[in-house]
Amino acid sequence: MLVLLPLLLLIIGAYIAYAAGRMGASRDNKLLAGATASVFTALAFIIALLIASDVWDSATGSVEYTIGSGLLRVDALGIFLILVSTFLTLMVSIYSTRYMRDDSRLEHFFPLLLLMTAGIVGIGMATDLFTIYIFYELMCIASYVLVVFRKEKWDAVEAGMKYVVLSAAGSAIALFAMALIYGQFGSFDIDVIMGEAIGGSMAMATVILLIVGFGVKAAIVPLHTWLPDAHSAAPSGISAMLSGIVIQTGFIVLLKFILVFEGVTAVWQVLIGLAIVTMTVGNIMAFVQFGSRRPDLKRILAYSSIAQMGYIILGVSVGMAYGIEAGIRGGIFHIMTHAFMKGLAFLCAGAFIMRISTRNVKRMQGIGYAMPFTAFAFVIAALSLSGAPPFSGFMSEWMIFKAGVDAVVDIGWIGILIALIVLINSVISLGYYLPIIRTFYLKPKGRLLGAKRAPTAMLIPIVILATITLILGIWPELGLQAVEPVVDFFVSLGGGF
Amino acid sequence: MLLDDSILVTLIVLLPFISVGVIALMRKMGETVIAGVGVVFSLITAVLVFLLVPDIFGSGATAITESYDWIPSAGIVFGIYIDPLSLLLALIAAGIGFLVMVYSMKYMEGKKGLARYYALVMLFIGAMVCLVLTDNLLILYIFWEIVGLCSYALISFDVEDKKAANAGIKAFVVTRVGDIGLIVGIFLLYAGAITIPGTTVAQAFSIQYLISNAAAIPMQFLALAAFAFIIGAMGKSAQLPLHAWLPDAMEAPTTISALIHAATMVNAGIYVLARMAPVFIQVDGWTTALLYLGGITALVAAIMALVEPDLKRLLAYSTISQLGYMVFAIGLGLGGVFISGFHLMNHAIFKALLFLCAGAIIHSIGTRNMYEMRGLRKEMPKTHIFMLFGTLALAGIPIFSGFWSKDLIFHEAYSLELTIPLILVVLSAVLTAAYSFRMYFLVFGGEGKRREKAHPAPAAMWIPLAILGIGAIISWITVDYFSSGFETFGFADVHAHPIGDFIVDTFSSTAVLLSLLAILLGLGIYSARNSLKQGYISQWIIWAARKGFGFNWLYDACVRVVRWCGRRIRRLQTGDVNINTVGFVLMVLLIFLFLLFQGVI
Amino acid sequence: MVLEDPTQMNLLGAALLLGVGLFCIMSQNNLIKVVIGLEILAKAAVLAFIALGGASVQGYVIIIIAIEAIVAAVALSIVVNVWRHSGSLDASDITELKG
Repeated sequence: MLVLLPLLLLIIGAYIAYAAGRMGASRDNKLLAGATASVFTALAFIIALLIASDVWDSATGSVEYTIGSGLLRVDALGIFLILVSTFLTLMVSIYSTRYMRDDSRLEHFFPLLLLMTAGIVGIGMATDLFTIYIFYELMCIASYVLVVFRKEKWDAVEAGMKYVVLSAAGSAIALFAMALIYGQFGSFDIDVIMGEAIGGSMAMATVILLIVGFGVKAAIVPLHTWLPDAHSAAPSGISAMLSGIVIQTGFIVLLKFILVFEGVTAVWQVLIGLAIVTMTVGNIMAFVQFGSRRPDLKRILAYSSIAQMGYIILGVSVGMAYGIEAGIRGGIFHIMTHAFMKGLAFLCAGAFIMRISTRNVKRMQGIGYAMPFTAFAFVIAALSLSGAPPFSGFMSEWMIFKAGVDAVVDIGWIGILIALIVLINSVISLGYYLPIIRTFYLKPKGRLLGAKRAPTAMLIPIVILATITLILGIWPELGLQAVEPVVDFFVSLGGGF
Repeated sequence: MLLDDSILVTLIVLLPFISVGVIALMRKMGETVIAGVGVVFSLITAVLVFLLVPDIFGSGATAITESYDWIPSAGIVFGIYIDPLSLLLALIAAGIGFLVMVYSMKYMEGKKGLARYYALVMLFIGAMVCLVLTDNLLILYIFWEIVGLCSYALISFDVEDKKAANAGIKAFVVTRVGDIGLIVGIFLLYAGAITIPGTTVAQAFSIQYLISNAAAIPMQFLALAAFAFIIGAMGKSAQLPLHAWLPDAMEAPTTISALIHAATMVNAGIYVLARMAPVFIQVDGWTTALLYLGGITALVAAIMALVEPDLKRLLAYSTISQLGYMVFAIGLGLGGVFISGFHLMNHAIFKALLFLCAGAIIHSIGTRNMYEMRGLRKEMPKTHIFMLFGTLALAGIPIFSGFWSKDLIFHEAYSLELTIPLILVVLSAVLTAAYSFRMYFLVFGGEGKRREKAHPAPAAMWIPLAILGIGAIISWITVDYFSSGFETFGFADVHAHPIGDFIVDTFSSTAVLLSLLAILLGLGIYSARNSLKQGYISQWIIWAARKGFGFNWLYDACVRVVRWCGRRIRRLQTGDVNINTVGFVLMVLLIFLFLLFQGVI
Repeated sequence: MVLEDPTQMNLLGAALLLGVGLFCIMSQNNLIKVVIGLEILAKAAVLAFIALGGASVQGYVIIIIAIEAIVAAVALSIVVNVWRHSGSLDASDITELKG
């Protein structure tokens, strides 16, 4: 029963938050929906922690729960996903309680947020490809609505339109691939499918369609085009969720499907190639954003998310292709560190935007004096994202990088080339994060009307995330405890190992 | 012994970082309190490091080793290995760090963000000490990046000044390019070492393990790693062509220029090369590459120093040039490791002295342009004396510290019959003497035409100057101590230099003639400067040197290339719903073609 | 596994339908038509399910259709908002966010 609880809590929480939101439709009670949502997410997170210790201690590496004829199973990867997503949701819902206070229809916002997380949690528990798909769609649909949540603003509507078209088309293509999987195996049960050896052109067609279909959510170039629009137009809390965990979940879903074909090295090679293109394009685009006339802070962060997805995909794919543990460890750990640091960056950006009502970086000149805590937290996030020690981003990036060099034995000097590209990318990322930091601390131009300390309810998650980013940089072992079982899980699958 | 070694080492590793937290918590308190806390912590750190001296330099001493499990999952161990080489660097970092802290009390008085300043300097000292004491290359790299981060944050310390902020960014980005070399080198060594049967992950990153198993590492890994390490050193130690960040870094407060950009951080590259020399020495062409890299850097930077009007930038070029000597010295072979370390120590002391003197002058008259200084001899007598010591040491005048180590380099190069490299370094010694005289006479000679008079340096500033000034005269005496320490620890080709023999050897060798010749020629160039400026070729050289030999243009070109690509890629982000979906077709085709090429389909 | 003949025909039809759907999204300027394209894509997937699974996939297919209906509803509601803001359904009009 314990296993089912996080999912149940989130879904029940969604209903109660809606009811609470309706009750608190008057202005004084606007906190109610957010508070309810936060409480339920916090409960879900705590229970997830309890499950986590069971999962890591159990001999099989997973905890099962039978419901009717169905089976839910939380394995190392699942609990990792659940922990990171519920924690980030908790931060975002505390933050949004204050950040969204002036918006109407909060009784819709928080339930949708919880449902989106419920989708991610469900993906972590499913043992059946079709169940994964249902939860994936739950996550997607909730995120469509959340992106367009401020429908009175044109850019939200425009971004939502592009997002829904691309993402729904991707889902449909993935669904087509699922039909092909069913045709080949006659089942969606992962336990049944995994053992079967498979190859041939049908398998390859499935792989192509899967990568293309789920690649939309994972923001793989050239299917990344929705991301900068959606991330910059969504409310900042949602941007943090999208960048921090939703696109990574897209990749994990892709991973779960592709693991069926994991014996085929070529699949992982495809992903390595795409990852390199993705990170380079993401970084270069973020770099030119800063050079434009009105650089949009959230758009820069969004492009940087594309680049970071590149790192994650690269790490995991190199690991799976050539049996390099460091790659998987780096990739999965990077999902965790990136969720916290990019979440942090977006929450800080939201605080700036709330105070001075602009996303233009140039108009944020001198904001470091008006909003010292938030700006400092942003500096931590930015340095961590650009891979500077002693912050968490550095720790995960060098592990990914190490994987490239480890692969030298298998793929010759191309491994070094991959490693070099990763490193050159991290230099480029300095090229846009450092100027942002510079702008924050230059002399204010006097246009920072209304810039003052961020509200406490927003500062709490910011401070917590900043602290985690620092702690995971100094003592990465803390985070690796959750990552290590995932690495073991992948190693146990065989493949390149 | 007062303290157990392992407790001592743990304290040295932890204390500076604890102090960072303490200073950060005290940021709201008064200026004096913050400065006081900073000075006390740096004093304790320095004392603790000095307590290690008897254990390392005593007769029959052995290395102090410690190891802390840091990331057990990835097999990363925080290993400590202390021998004379690492202790030498740690002594410089902690000792000069303390003097700079004392000096800062007065120099930084009344500036905004002092808590940030002291916290960052303590973070820097701690990271630098850890960088040299650790035995694990990966840990070394982490601290290497942290000192880079501190350098960036301190160059941009005056955050409201756009020029300083840009200089910080340039320094961080350019050194980061060098860091690519270092990390690639580290992982190549790891990949090579892990192929030795029975090697664990922790061992493959351990410097001592790599040194003792150097012969077993496959040559293709070793050779590439050797050159990758040179690139790493190029970035941090400001060797051509990655040197151009250092002159710009002079936007930092002068204390920072003295500590980070003259005495300690820029030596990190030299340290890594010296430390790894026993591993790389078997790679063909590695030493030759270092000889030419160091020699050319020394020469080119000296030329740029000769035409520089800004006092601090001149000192920065001079630092680049002197770092070139140290790289050159390592290129002389394993025996050169000691010479390089010896020159590193002398240089750290006299260059920190010169920077701090420059700081006193800038603090007093508020300009960095040497042509606006003139005639400070009478107005700032103490600063004048100490700066004179520093200048003489830099120019390599006998009995001042710079002379001994530079002469040792010439001697070694001469006895190895390396003609062309020797010409390069002697030529740069000539120019070094010339720009030293130019600097001294511009700053102190003649009569000042300034409206307000300069005020002499306050006590908190001249006492550190006095200590360093005396150091600039006598630091070479420790050669006895250090060389025997190196010999005890089994550094190949290093022999103890008892002090008497050292003096006799120095003055009886042919190389001393080269040193003296260089000084005379330098003086000649300086006195004939007006007629020399007329020559066609020299005018051309002066023009090129003022432009920095086009290295800044090179950096800008790299940025422009990325930006050009970016603008092209940017057009692909049309924002059109229909065109976005073309991505599906594109991706299917891409993957299909790839699989086709792999022969999977 | 050998695919039987009618299965292959149906699968081919599904694949063609997938192409039609994609083409529809790529070429149509009217947002309603783009949403119709999305629906065609979904139907292609459903057809593929039926082609490969026969009667055993009834449950899956019904769930898929339900989900697709929700997606279509959400997409159409966004289209309505686009109409409210700009008074146009032209896909080439919604290119404010780019670069």
